[in-house]
Amino acid sequence: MTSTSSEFLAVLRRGDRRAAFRVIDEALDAGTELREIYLGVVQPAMREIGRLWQENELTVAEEHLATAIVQLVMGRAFERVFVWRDSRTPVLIAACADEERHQIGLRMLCDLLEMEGWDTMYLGASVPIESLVDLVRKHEPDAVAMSATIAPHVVRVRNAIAAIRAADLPKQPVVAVGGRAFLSDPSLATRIGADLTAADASDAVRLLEEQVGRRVRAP
Amino acid sequence: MMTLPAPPTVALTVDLAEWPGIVIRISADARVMATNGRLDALLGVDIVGRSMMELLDHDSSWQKWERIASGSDTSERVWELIFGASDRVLDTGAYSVMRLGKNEGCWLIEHPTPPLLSALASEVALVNTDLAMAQRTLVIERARLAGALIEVERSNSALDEFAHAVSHDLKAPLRAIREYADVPGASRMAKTEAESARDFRRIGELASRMRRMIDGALDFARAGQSGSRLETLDTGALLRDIVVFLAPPRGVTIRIAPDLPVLDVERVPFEQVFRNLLSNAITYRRGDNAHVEVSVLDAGAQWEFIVADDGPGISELEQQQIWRLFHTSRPGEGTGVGLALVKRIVESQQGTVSVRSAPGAGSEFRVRWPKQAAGSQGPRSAGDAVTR
Repeated sequence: MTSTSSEFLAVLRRGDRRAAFRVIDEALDAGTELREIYLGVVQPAMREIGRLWQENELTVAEEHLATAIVQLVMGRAFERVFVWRDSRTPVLIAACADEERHQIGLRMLCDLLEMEGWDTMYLGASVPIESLVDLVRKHEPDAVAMSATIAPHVVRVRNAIAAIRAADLPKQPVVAVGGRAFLSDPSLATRIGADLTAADASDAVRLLEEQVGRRVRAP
Repeated sequence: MMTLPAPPTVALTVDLAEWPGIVIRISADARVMATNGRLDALLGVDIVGRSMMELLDHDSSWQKWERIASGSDTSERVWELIFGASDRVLDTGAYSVMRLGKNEGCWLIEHPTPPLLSALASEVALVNTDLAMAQRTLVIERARLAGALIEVERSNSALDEFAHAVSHDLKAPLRAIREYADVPGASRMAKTEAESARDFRRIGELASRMRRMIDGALDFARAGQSGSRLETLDTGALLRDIVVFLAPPRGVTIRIAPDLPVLDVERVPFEQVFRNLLSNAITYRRGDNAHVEVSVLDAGAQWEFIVADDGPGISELEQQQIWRLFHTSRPGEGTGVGLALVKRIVESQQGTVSVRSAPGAGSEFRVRWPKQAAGSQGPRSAGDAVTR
């Protein structure tokens, strides 16, 4: 972990929202890019928070507080660096099979894709499968991203993919899945009908750009 | 699944059976020996006899359980565990571990959370998520509006400039036409037939010129509109085609550098920019000879095309004027639309154009064209009145 990430982790463990803002503001002021803040500061700190829960060093309540602060921090950082561009073509819909505290990775993916010029629709946690399919039918996204952290939620992701595949759509979106449940067994992604999976948000951005972004932007 | 030998069952004391949370007794080899029935009901399976590893949802809880089972952690801490079976996963629960004698296992006793507090916690979490999503939407929407505002301001200033040019510059030939058409009056000598014929010819020329200016003004107005399809063009080949089309007179050499890029562009505006620049370099040459060079530099997100000539050059004062619609240094020849059109097209493609020149030292036009076509698909803002 970098020193910024360690400092960020320390203020998250204290539940100090203002200090968390200050750490990130200082990093942005020093010219750190949003991608680097997400992947180099926020992500390692959140992984460490998860590990500390496993070690019984942190309670779920403390983890929730850290997540709430991270969501605010991400909103502020995104606001500072987001620039509207008029050439947004690839569209992604993102949905999460898990509870609120596991959405951070998916949100990072959406923010980073926005920076690459994508149009992302972030649906948050626990979207009913029928609503997801309705939205896919309505917006005809180029890609759909779903995440699951624990094994039983993979079933929900599998059912959602099956529903999208069964829907009568003019074009089938590329389906990307991620989250801890897929980390230990990447072949699980293809077994449940997804097109790709990635180890982290940065990897997912790269793969989606390669397999979707370039094709959509091509004349 | 491996069948385990039946574990010894143990009766619960009445107190533990009625405890409002989950209570289970676990043997030293990590199997459930007794339950108060709550975990069974929540998971929908019989848990007695099952291994803890089957009941905990994930490796994160397994690791915790291994630490509990090993007895290495002797603190009185509360443990947070997630139980799960088949497709059902419970929320995180907080448990106390009551250790029994050596090799006798332990009790796991849940700290029940008041239902109201759990409901409140999940409400707070939902509100927090909604807030984060709303904030994000707001950021995107605000940035979009800021972009639209810049576009509107750009359009407004273009509209002002256009209105000024049309009202001011189109009057000049009209004024001249009126002069020539003046019927012999008290203040004038009667025109001879030859003079009349000459004046009619001039009126005809002026009318043609006005028509060219109006056509030019229309081209200028339409130049901001985009939306034609992107094509992958070899810009070197395109420029060589333009040179053939322009058919430069003897004495004029135009050299196109061999390393011009292949680019995704809208063909018509791109072609128009370089046709106008090359045509200017030919028209405004010094004497009969001219050397024109087109080259390119990689400027990061943009290509910088350079059209350099050895013409008479442009004074600093004149350089401020050349981009204005209807400005021309040779009123008899040009309509003054060419460079105004170049600037408008390039800017509508999110590029820039600039000139470096000094009298007697030739001119160098630099066009920065984005490598990634921008805004070619998106609708123009409604405020862009000039382009409608």
